[in-house]
Amino acid sequence: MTYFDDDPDDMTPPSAADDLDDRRVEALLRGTTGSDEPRLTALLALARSLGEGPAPQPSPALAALLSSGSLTQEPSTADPRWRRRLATVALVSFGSSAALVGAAAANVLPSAAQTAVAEVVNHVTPLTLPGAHPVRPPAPDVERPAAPAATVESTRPTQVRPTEVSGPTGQPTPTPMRTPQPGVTSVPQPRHTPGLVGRPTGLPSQANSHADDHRKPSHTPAAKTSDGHQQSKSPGGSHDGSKTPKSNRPTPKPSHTTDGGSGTSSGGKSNGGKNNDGGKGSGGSHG
Amino acid sequence: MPESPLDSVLESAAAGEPWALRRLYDELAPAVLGYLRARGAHEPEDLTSEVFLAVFTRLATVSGGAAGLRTLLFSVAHARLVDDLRRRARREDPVEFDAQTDRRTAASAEDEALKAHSVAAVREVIGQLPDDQRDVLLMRLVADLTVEQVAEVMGKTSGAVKQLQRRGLLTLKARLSSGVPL
Repeated sequence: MTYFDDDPDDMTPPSAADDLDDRRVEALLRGTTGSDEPRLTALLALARSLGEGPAPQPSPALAALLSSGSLTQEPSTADPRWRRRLATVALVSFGSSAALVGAAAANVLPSAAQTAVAEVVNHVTPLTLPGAHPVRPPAPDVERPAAPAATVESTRPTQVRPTEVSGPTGQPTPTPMRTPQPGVTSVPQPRHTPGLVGRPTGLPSQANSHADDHRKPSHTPAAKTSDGHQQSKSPGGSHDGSKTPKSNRPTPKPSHTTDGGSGTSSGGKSNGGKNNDGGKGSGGSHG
Repeated sequence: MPESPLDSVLESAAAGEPWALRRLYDELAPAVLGYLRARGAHEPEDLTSEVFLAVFTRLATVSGGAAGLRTLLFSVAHARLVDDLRRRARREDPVEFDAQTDRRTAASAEDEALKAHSVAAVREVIGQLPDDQRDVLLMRLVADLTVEQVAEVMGKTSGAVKQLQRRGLLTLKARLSSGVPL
C-alpha cells in the first residue's frame, strides 16, 4: 500500500514534519509556535488580524440603543405590506357597507335584509330608510282582559296599515279585499290558509293579508275561539251585533274605514277594542 | 476560568448602562466584523449591527459571563451569516462585495488597503477549505473562541472540532507548500 494512490486533499502522507498533534495545533492557532512553517504562520497571523481594529460604525437603530440603553427596544418591524393589507381591508369594508346602505336606501334589498339594514341605519344614524319596523309606543289604554286562549296572533303588534289611511281628499282608499259587497259583507269567508296565522307581520303587504285574515273567521279552533271571544267581549263588538241583522244593507265605507284607520291612531274606544283583539278586533269592528 | 474584565461590564450592560453597552460593542464588534468579512458576508457592517441588536436585547438571558456572551454573539453571527449566504444564493447579487472599494470603515487609507489585502488573502486561501473546516479555523483565529465555544456555536462535539481544525491546518500547510501565494 502506497500513499500515492490516495487523494492528497483527503489524506496527507504521515511524516514527522506534517504530523500535527493537539499541542502543535493549539500553538499554531494561538500564534505561539516556532517558525518552522513560516508561510502557514504568516497566513494564520493575517487571519488573526481580521478580528482586530476599530469597531465599525453602528447602524442608526443600534446607535440609538447604545445611547439610550433601553434594551427592550427592537428595530422597527413595521412592514409596509401589512399597512397595505390593512388599508385594502378597510377600503373594501367601507365600500361594501356603503353599497349595502345604498341598496337599502333604494329599497332594492330582499325584505329581510332590507328590514335589518333599515333598522340598524335608523337606530345608528339620523337617516331614515324604508322597510324598518315602525317604532310604536305601547298603547296607553290597552284594555286587555285575560286572554283565555293565547294565540300567536295575540302577541302580534298592531301596525299602521298604509292602505287604510285616508286619501288626499279625505276619502278612504279602498282596497279590493276590503270593498264591502252587498250581501256578502257579513258572511264570514272561510280561510284556507291557516299558515298565515302565525306569520310575523313585518311588511305592509303582510299586514294587509292579516287584515284580510282578520275579517275572515278562521276554521282553526284557536281562531274560532278567539273570534268568538272577541265578539262577546269587545267594547266595539256592538258593531257586529248591530250590523248583523242589517246584513242586507251595505255598510257605508267611511264608517268602515274610520274604524280601522283612525282607531289605531286616535286611541279611542274602537282602538281599545282593536288592541284587545290583538289584531282580530278589526274583524269585529269592521263587521 | 479567570474572571474577565468584561464580566463586570456585562453586568452593567445588562442593567442598561449605555457606557457598558458601548464598551462591549467596541471590544467585540471588530471580531464579529472580521469573521463576517472573512466568510464573505454581503454587507458585514450592517450584519454586525444586526447581530449586536439581537444580542443586546437578550443580555438578561446571557449566562457564563463574558465567555458566554462571546459564544452567544458568534452563534447569532453564524446564524445570520448562513441566512445571508442562503439569501444571496437564491438571488444573484448584481455587484460582488469588494473589500478594496468598500469605504464604509472609519480606518485610514493605509489600514484599509492592508485590511483589504488581508481579507482577500485569507479568503483566497481559507475559502478553498470545506465549509466546516473554514468555519472552525475562522472562529478559532478571528473570533478567538476556544474549542468548546466553537463546538457550542456549531453544534458539534469538542472532538469533532479538534479534528476539523487539524484537517484544515494540514490542508493549508499543503497548499502553501505547493506555492499558493499569500
